This record gives sequence, structure tokens and C-alpha cells, in this order.
Amino acid sequence: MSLKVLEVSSLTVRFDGRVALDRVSLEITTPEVFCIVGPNGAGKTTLLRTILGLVKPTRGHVRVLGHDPFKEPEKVRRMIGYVPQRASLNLEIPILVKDVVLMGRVPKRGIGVFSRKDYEVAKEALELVGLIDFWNEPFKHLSGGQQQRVLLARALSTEPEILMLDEPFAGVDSLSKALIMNTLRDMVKQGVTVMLVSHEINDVLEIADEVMLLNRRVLAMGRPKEVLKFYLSIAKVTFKGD
Amino acid sequence: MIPPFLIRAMIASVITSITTAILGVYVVSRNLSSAGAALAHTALAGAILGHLIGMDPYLGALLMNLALSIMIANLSLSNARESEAVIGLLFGFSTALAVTLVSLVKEYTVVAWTYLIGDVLGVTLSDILFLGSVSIITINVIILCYKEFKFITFDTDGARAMGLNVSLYHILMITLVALVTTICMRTVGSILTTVLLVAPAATARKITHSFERTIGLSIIVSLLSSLLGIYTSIQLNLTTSGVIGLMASLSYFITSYFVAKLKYCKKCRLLVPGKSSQDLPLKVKDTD
Repeated sequence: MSLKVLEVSSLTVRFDGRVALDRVSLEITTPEVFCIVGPNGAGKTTLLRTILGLVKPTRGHVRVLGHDPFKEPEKVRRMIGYVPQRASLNLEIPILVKDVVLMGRVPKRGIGVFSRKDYEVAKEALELVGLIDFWNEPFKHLSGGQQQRVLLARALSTEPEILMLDEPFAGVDSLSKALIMNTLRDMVKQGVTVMLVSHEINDVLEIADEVMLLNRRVLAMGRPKEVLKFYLSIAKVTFKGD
Repeated sequence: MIPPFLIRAMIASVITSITTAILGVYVVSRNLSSAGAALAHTALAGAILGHLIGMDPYLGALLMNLALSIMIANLSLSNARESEAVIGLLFGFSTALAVTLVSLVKEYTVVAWTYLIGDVLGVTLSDILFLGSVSIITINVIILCYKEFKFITFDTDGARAMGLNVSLYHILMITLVALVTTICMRTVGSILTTVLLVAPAATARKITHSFERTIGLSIIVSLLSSLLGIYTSIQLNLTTSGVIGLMASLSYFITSYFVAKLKYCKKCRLLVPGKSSQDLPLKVKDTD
């Protein structure tokens, strides 16, 4: 039996008595683009954070390439390249694009200065997202889409087995969106599993191999067209109900 | 010939300026200025308590500061939303404690004044050794954790998700602030410590977008403020720490005024005189 990339089983998370995730299960067996779609407060980011071992579940278990993120958190987190929401960044800090991309090498490097290999990997990652000319530019001078691509380059420079992206298309222009999608597709071809979160189903239809509709519990999961059909049917019911 | 007390004052100023300038960049970038102010006032309370119980005042300040730094670090990690309010409360508490304790001291005015505004012209060789040791420890920790400190400052969530021990680095950084605010008390006093910790870094951040250059410029601003402060205060017979604090604060206000008239130079990665980029026609880069 081959090793599953990700296994989430009956995951329940409660914050202060409020249910954030209710018996969520999913399985990824081969590298693909897996998208989690849901409204604000649906538990999408909580699911990612639980898989990373940052949020402890009330019930259920998670396995990332066979490892338990709560027993081996460092090991699991170093297999995952994480792209956070841009809103969580501190843009007040004076920082250049190269500094941001090199951060992806920090967990691998440990104490000490970056090696030549770290610089090479970081430059390759920035090249992949088409921003190598911006190596020495201040990060905050870039557009939202460019910043998102730099964050993707940072995640790529960790040489991950799984890429996790939290709302990567929020406030991103169409060109950057297309470039991000192309890069993600290339990564899947190279054997990397991509897991991305979005509150907008239309943003992920083009790229997704599988879509999960989440609103604290799993509403639907499957091929994008099937999930879209379901999504439209519930939207219709909601609309009629209104 | 330069009198020995002045040489010692200059050495002490150089040591404190470099250390506060480097650490200040993280303090300003992580919005830890109020934590720095709270720690500076705790150092004052600790020093007076040390004086009252017959302990070395600086050791008292250090112990009390370390205790509060761990408290601040834990509070900001466990409840980020309330941490600012709680730090403000601790600031008030430590000041109130210092004011209450100082009234118990017989040599009331002299003791309070020494810790409040420092006495850089009165530093001894042993003071310099103490300052130097703490500075070497602080700068070495910053060099060792440089990448990690920068990462958690820019993106705490991302750093945690990528496997960095964010709590450890956060506690370490606050502990360094506690150490540095203690050593600053000897030179500029507890009241002006915050100025030396914040003003040079805030000034430097206005004229460059590179982290390394911010540190470099912060050191230059801090050194100039301290050395010019000592010179001016002696010439005009004014309180040295006050003049140092004024110099550092003025550097920020003057830079803030002129920064609007500067433009970003890609080659030197600094803001240089010229037409502001905001006045130039919008140029869209071809890659985006």
C-alpha cells in the first residue's frame, strides 16, 4: 500500500465551546491541486493550521505523509511550504524581496549564515515566479500580485513536498493569478501536492483537481464540475429561500 | 588632553548607542516600544528596590526587568489582542512602584535623579566592563538569531507554520530588551532609555528599505546623538542625558520633515534628495 500524502479523519475542532470544524475527513493519495472553498469563518484556515499541528483538534487525527503533526511537528512543518494570507504580514519592516525569499531557507539552515546553495535555491524559486529582476527591490514597493508571487517563491525555496496556500488569489491581478496557477501546475508535475484555500469558488475551478466545499463541516467534495453543480444548487435554494 | 572621565563617558556612550541602535530596529519593527518603556521604568523600580535592601541597584534592576520581560513575552504570546493594554498597565504599575519606593529612600533626590536621568559623565571602569559584557552578549545573540528574528518580525504566522520556535525567539528578544534597558539606565537614565531605543531606529527606517542598512543607519544616528549630546551638554553646561535624548528625537523629527522631499534610489537603496516618487508619473513594470 502506497503512503498517503494527507489523511484527515473525523477532525473536530472547538474554540471556547464553539465548533470550528465538525467531523472533517479527507484523503489525498497522489500529488494534485486540492482546493478548500467556503465562506469567511467556515474553518478553512483552521483546517490548514490543524494539519500543520498549530491547532489541537478536539477529536480525530491527521497524518501528513504518515507523520502525526502533533507528535512530530517540526518534521511535518518542514515538509510543507506555507503561503500565509498577505494581511498577516508586517509590511512596516524594511525588507527586500531577497530577504523574504531567503526566509524559506531559515528552517533548513538553522543557526548561522546562508550558504551559497541557499542563495541559489532562493534565486531559482524567484525565477520560477518570474520576479528574479526584483531580487533587490523593497518588498513593499511591489503590487499585491507580485507580493503574493514572492511569498510563493519563499514557500518553493523550502523545497516542500506539500504546498499550502491561504487565499492566494485575494486582491491579486489576473496576470499574477495566471502565473501563480502555472507555477502550481508545474509543481504538481514535479510531485508536489498543492492545497489551497479560497472563499471564491470561481478562483479555483481552473486549477483544482479536487474541491472541498467547507462550512465547518464538509458540504461536498469531488471533481470541480460536480462540486460547482452542487454549489449552484444550494445557492439556488438559498436564493429562493431569501 | 581629554580628561579620563570624558573618555569613559564616550566609551560608555558608544557601547550603549550601538547596542540600543541594533536592538531598536527590532523593537520598532515589532511594535515593542511600549514594552521597552515599561521595562525601562521597571528597571528604575528595581534599582531603587535594590538600593533600599542593600543590593547592587543595577543587579536589582536587572532581576526585576528579567521577571517582567518573561511576563510581557508570555502575555503577548498568549493573548496578542490584550497584550498592548496589559503592557500599558504594567508600565503604569512599574512607574507607580518606583515613585512609591523612591519616597522611602533617605537621599531621595540624588538617588532618584541618578536613576531617572543617568550619569554618563560619572561612569567608572567597572560600569564600562558591565556595559561591555551585556552589550557583547546582546549583539552576539542578535547575530546568532538574526535570520530568525527577521523572519518572526516580518511574518510570525509563516515562521510558526514553517517550523520555527516563535515563542522561544520572542522571549529571547524581550529578554534582550530587558538587559539593554538596564544598562542604559547608567548612561541616559530610565526615562530616556526609550528614546535611545526607538528614535535612531525609527529615523533610519524612514530613509531606507533594507533591513541591514536600517541597522547601519540606526547605529550612525545613535552614535551621533550620543557623542554630539555629550559635547553640547559640556559646552552649554546642560544635563547630558537630556541633550542626548533631544538630539535623537530631533533626528527623527527632522528626517520626517525632509523625507517627503526625497526619492528612493535603487542603486544605493536609500532615500536621496530629488523629486518624490509620488510626484512622478506611474510606471507599470512589464512583469506584472
